[in-house]
Amino acid sequence: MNDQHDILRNRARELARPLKDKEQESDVLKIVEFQLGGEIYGLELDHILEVYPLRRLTPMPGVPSFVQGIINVRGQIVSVIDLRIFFEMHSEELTDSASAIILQSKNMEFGILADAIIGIDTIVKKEIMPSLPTLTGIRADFLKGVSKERLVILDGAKLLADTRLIVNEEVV
Amino acid sequence: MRQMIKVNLMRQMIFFYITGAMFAIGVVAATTFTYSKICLEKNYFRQLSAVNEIKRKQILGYLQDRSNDLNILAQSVDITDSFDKLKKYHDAGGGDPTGDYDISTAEYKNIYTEIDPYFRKYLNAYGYADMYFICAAHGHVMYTVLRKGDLGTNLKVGPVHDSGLGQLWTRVINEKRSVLVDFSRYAPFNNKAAIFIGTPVFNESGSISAVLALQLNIEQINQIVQEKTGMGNTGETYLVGNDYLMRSDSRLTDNPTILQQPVKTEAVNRGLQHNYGEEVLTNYRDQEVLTSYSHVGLNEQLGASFDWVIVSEITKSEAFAPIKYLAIKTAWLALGLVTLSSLVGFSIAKTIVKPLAHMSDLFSRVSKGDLTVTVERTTRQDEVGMLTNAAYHMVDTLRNQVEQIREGTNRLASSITEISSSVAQLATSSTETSTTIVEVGSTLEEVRHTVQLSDAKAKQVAEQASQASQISTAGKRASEEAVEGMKKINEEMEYVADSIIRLSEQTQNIGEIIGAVNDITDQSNLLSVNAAIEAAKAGEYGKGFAVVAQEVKSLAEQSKDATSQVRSILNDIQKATSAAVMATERGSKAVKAGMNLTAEAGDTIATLENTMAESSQTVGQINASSHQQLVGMDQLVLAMENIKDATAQNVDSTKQLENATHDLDELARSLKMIAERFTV
Repeated sequence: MNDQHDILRNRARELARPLKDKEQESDVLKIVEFQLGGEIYGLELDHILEVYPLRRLTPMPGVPSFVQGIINVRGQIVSVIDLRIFFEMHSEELTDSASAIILQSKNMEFGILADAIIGIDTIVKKEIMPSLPTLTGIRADFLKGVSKERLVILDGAKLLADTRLIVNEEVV
Repeated sequence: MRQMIKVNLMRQMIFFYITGAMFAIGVVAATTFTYSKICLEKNYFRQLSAVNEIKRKQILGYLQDRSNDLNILAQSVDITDSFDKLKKYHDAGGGDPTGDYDISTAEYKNIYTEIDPYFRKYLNAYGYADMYFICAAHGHVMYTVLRKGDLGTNLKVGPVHDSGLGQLWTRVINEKRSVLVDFSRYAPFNNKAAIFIGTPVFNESGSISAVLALQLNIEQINQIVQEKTGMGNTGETYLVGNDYLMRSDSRLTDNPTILQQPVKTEAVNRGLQHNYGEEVLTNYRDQEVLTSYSHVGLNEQLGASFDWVIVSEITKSEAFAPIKYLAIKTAWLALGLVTLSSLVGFSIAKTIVKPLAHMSDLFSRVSKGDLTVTVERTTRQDEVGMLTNAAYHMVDTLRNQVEQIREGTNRLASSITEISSSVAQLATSSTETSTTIVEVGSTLEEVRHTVQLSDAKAKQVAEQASQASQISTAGKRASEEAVEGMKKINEEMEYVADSIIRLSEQTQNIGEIIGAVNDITDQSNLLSVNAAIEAAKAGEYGKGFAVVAQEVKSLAEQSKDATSQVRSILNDIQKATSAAVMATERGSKAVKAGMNLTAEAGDTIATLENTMAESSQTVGQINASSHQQLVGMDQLVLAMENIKDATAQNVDSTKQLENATHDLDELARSLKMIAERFTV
């Protein structure tokens, strides 16, 4: 009984707390947290179109290995990239709960493979620290920073702008 | 002195050399003296007896010769003529029958002058002292050569009537033969000793007409007797009459001894008793002499009325003078020999004693345990050399042996240490054995009780076996009923199996439904995220929608939790169902097996029934065996007691062994100490 009381009281206190960052809307960063290869990453909400369950992934021939295939999102064909291969990390089998995070810019639209979508979170920009020295290689190029909770925040704009992801290969 | 000799070998040896030499010399000297003395004495006795006998025979011969001479002379014409002339003058009145014979007349002087030269010559030629013509009838001395006081006297009544001459005349007239008269003092002859011999002169008618007499010369007798050849300085021969007076002159004195020197000795005594022999006796001078004595034999040979003893003697001191000389010489020789032997002894002793002293010093060092001594080897071949070499080898051997002994004692000591530790272990183990045996004994006692119990039990079992036989019969009936029951159980089990299989199928369906719900939940979650994204994009207007999206999300999460719970429950149910299926299958199998087993059990129980009967008999045998076992057990207990005693003795023996080892250890220590006393 006491536990229930405590939980309810805390929840009420949470709700009653005024939003600190109301006046500083621009100071916070909304991100989608997702799990990939045992690690949790964050991605800015601004570049995300939607998340979509990864069903009927159709592999494509003649594409780089990091392109896992294509999916049908309500009639639109979107390619899905496995960041683990792109980041030259160890690749694993897909889980049942695997989803695709669809990124969209003016010129570019593709999906990123995620093992599981955790949820939405808000991070204060000031608290974002620069990149960790342990993160090296190609990954370091797409890193926006590391949050207080050691959450690796990827830079969606850089991902969308990177030319390496553009597949332009002719089959001879 | 004796001690001084005893402690010094050199002195001893010299002492023994001297003593030995002296002893040898003494023995030789004594033997020599004794035999020399005996030989000398024998020799002297032989010599003396020879001298004595020769002189005796000479005396006898002399007197016999004189007697013969006189007889011949008495028969000669000269004598008879002369005698006739004197007789004629006598008968013519010259001879007074009761008085003297007148010699003062011229007629007599004429006759005397006529006959005198012849007889004087005769007398001088033969060396007689005097010669007498005596008339037979009256004893008138009618003629003498010396014309002493006796001439003309009447022997019958005259002054010389008692003299030797008178005796002679009387005896010759009476005995009508030659007569010798012993020495006597004769007044006309200056009262000196005189000896007469006379013989009758017969006329034609055969009667005695006159007596012819001679006075013998003493010097002639002395000459015979005093012959000193082989008599040395003190030896002499003399004649002794039965009045114990000498009848000859001693050559050792200038004074006449005849009828003056008394010789009253043992030798004379024996001689007078007609004995003869040689002996050591005392003579008339009170000297010890070697004497040979004998009677002369005048009685037997000459028919004299007296006899003499002839004695030859020599003083013992002179006779044994060579022995004295020999003694002095021997003494000098002995002195020289003793000196020589002491020198020889000294030199020999030196060669022996010096190495011996060295050896003695060496051995005393060795005896104190000092084996570092060095012995010089020698090339001497004699016993001393052998001793030295033997000592060399001995010290060498001793050294080696002491080293070996030392090693041996060390080894012995270590061995004894090992032995003593082993013995200690043995003692411990035997003590342990003893306690173990005591325990075994008690255990055995328990076993015995157990066996007694088992014996009792065996009896019970025998009883029970017969009961079991009955029970098995009952069991047979029961098993038949069990078979029936098992059949019913089998039917029920089949029904249960069907039910469970159906349950399993239904749970499968539930699983599919849950999968669908789960899918929906995932999509709801994504939906909530998309809603949140949209809400964020909508900015301020979308905030309320964001809350809705959050709620959707939490609902999705709750439903996800619920489905996962349902799924886990369903998993449990599925597991339980499959376990139940398995169990049912096993159950039905078990029931089938049970049925078979029950049937078999029925058979078995039937067999058991038979077996039980046999068992009953066997149990009877077991009962008997068990009783025997009990008896055997009692014997075993007794044997165990004996073993216990033996073990106790064993423990005692081990203690003794321990003591013995201790003693041995001490022995080894003392041995080691003895060995360590030697310095090598």
